Amino acid sequence: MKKVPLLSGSNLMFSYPGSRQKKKALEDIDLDIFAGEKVGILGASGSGKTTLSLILAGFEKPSSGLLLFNGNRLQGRKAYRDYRLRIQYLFQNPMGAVNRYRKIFEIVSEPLIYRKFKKEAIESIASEMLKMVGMDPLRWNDYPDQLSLGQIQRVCLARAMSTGPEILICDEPFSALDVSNRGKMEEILLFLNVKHGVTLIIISHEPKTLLHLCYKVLVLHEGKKVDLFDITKENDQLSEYTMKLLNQI
Amino acid sequence: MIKVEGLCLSVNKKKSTFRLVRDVNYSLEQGETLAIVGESGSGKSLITYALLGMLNHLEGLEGTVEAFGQKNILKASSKEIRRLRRNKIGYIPQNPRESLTPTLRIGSQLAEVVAAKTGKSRRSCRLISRNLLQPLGFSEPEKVLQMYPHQLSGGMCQRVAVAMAIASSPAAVVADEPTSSLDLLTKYEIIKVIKSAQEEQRFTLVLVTHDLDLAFKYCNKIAVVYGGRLFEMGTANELYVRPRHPYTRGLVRCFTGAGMANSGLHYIPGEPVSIYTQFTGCRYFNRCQMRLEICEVKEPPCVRTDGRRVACWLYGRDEGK
Amino acid sequence: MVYLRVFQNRLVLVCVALIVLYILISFGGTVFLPHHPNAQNLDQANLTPCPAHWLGTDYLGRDLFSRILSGVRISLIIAFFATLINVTVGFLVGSVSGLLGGIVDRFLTGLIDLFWCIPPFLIVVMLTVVLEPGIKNIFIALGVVFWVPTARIIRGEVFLLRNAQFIRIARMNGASYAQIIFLHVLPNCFPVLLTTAIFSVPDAVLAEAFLSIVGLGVTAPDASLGVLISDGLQSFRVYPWQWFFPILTLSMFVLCFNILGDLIHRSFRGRSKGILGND
Repeated sequence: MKKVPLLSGSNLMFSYPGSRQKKKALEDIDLDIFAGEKVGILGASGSGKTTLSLILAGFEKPSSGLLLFNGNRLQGRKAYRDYRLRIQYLFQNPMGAVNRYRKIFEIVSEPLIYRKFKKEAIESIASEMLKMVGMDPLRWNDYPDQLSLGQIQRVCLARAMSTGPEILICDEPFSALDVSNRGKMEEILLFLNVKHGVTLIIISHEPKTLLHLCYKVLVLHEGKKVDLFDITKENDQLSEYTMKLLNQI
Repeated sequence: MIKVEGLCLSVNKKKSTFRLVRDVNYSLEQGETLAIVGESGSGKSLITYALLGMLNHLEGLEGTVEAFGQKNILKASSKEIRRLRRNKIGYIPQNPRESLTPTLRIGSQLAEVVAAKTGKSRRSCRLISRNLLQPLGFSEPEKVLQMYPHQLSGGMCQRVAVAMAIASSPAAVVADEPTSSLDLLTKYEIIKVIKSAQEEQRFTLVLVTHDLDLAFKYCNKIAVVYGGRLFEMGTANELYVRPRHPYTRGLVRCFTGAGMANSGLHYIPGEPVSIYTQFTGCRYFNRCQMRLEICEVKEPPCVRTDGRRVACWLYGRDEGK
Repeated sequence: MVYLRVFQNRLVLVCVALIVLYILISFGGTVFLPHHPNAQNLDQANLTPCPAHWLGTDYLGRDLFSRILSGVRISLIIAFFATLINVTVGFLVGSVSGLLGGIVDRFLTGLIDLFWCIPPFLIVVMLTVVLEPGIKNIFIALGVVFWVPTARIIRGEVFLLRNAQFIRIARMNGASYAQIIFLHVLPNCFPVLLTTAIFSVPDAVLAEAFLSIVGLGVTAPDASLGVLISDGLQSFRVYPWQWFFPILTLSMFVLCFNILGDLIHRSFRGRSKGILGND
C-alpha cells in the first residue's frame, strides 16, 4: 500500500489580496511531506518561502490548489481549527514572539491554559518542556527581557512543544542566534525529530544549515519551485540557480 | 592611522556602575580591514560608536581615540565631530531600508548627502551622485535616482547606503552589520561592492559582524569581543589557523564544524554572563573549558603574544615581552 | 522602576504627598472637620479668616475650611468614578475594536467618530439636564464622553499589537478573544492606560467644576469644589477669600496629577530608549 503523506500540497497558488500587480506570491507548488521527515525550504527574501510556510501552518488559505492533511482536504473553518491544533510555528524573531510582561513559565504554559488542561498537568508538562530545552529552573520566573535571544528562542520552542504537535514549522530559527548558540538549537530540533517523531519544516536562506539538518530541500525562487531534491541521493539534474546557491557555501 | 587606547564606557544604573566596554586597545593602518566579531550584546557596536563620536555625551567614557588627525575624538567638540563625519568617516547602517527616508526619492536623498559632504551646489550634486552609483553595480542609475526606497530591494537600498558613505572619499568606513538583513547571494554582492570601493579609495574598513564567514574571508584583522572586552585580536589567518583564547577556539570550531554536512554539532555550552551583572573575574569563566582558579577572581590583562593580543590567564603576564 | 523615579524627584514626591493628603481627607469624611460643612449660622455670615473659622465663612455662615475639605471629597469621588468608567469602557471598546477588526471595528469606530464630532460638553450638559443634577449622574455623564479618546488611543495600540507574533501564536493555540485581551493586550497596553487614567482625573475634576459653575453640578447642600467656586464668584470683589481658597485647592490638585501623570508617561517611554538617547 502506498504511504499517505502527512501533509501534501498540490498546485498551491497564492497572491496577496489587494496587490495591484498581477504577480503571484506563490505559483504551482507541489510538496509532499511524510510523517517524521525533515524538510527544508530554501529561498532568498521575496521568494515566497514565508508565504508558503504560513499556508502550511494554516495562517493563510491558498488562493487555489489543494492542501491535504492525512489524506483529507483542508476546507472550512472547522477543518482548519482542528489542523491548527496539531501544528506549531516557531517565528524568526524570538523577542517578538513572547509577551514581555509574562514570566517564562507562564509563557510555556499558555497554550495548555487555552486547551483547558488541569493545573497540575500544566505544571508538570511545562516544567518537563523547559527542562528538555535546557532552561535552568532558577530562571523560570524571569521575564523575557532578562534572557538572551538564544534562551528566548528555546522558551518559544518549549512553548511550541508543550502541546505535542505533529508538525513543527520553523521560520529562520537560527538567523537571530549567535554562532555559539546555533549548535544547541540544532541539537534540540534533531532530538525532537528523533525522540518525539515531530515532522520538521525548516525555512531558511542559508543552504548550509538546511543541508546540515534536512533530508529533503525545496528551493524557491520568486514564488516558483526551482528544485526539490533529496540530499541523501545523487543529484545531477539541479537547476542553475540551486547550484549558484550551493556554491556559496 | 586609528589608534584606540584604554577605551572604557561605564553607565550608572540603579545606583551601581556597569562597565559596558572595558579597556579596549587597537590600532589600524590605512587601508586595513578590521572585523569586530562578537555575540549580540557583547558591546561590539559601542566600540565603533566611540570611533564615530556618538558616545561623547556620556559621562562614563574614558580613554583616547586618536584618528584622522584628531588627538582625541572622545573629547572633540560637536563641531569638530560634524566635520569629521562629513569628510573622514563613512557609516553603513544595519538596516538600509529603515535608514532611508521613505518619502523622498533616492536622487534627492543622495544629492543632499553629497551636498552636505562636499559643499557644492545641488545641480552638480545630481551628477556626482549619478557617478557615485555607477560603479556600485546598478544597471540603470538614472532610473534608481527617480525611485523611492520602497521600490528598491534590500540589496539595492544597501548599495545606496554604501554610496552615501563613500561620497566624500572618507579615510575610514564603519559598517555595522551591513549584511545581516540580506539573504545569501545579496550578502556576498554587497560585501564585494564594499571591498571594491575600498580598493579604489584605499579607506580603512571597520566591519562589525557576527558572521565569521565574512570576517575570515574579507578582513585582514579580527577583534573578538566578549562581554565588553577585547578577548583576542590578530590577523584573520592566524586566528583561523591557531586561535589562542578558549572563546576564539570555540567560535572557530563552531564555524568550521558547521561547514561540513552531518559532522558532529558543535556549540559553546552555557550563556554569556549578562553585561549588567557584577563579576570580578573573567567574563567567559562560566563557559570556559580551560578555566584556572585565578579566572574566577581576577580579570586577565591583555597580553601580547607573537603579534597578537590575548586576554586570558592561559598566556601569562610575562610571556612574549 | 517607576517607584524609584518617583522618589528620586523631589517635586514629584511633594505631588504624591499632596495627592495622598487629598485622598486621606476624602476618606476621613466629616469626622475630622472643625465644623459640619453644611451647618448654617447666619449670625456669622461672610466672616474674614479668623481662629474660629480658618478660612472664613460664606454667605450662609458655613465654615469655608470644612466645606473645602468635604468639597475635595465629592470632587474626588466624581473624578474616581468618571475615570473608572472612562478606563473600563475605553479599554474594552478599544481592544475589542482593534482586535476583532472587520464589521465590529467599523461599527465601534463609527460610534467613536459620532461621539467625537459632537462637542463633549454639549453631551454632558444635555445628559445632566435629562438625568437631573447629582453626584451619580455627573460621573455617568462625564464617563459617557471621556471614554471616547481613550478608546481611540487603545485601538491604535491594539492595532499594532494584533499582528504581533505572540498574539498570532496565542490565536493559533486556540485562545479566545477574552483570553487574548486580558492575558496579552491588557499588560501591553497598561502603561498607556495608566497614563490616560491619571490624566483623566484632573480633567474630570475640572469638568465637574465647569458643570457646577454653569449650575448643573452637585445639588445643595452638598458642595463640590466647583460649587464652592461658583458660590464664591457671586461676591467676587467683596469677599475674595471665598473664591480664592477653593480655586487654590482645585489648581493644586490638578497640577499635582498632571505632574505625576507626566512623570509616569516619561518613565514608561524611557524604558525603550537605548544608551544613545539624545545623540
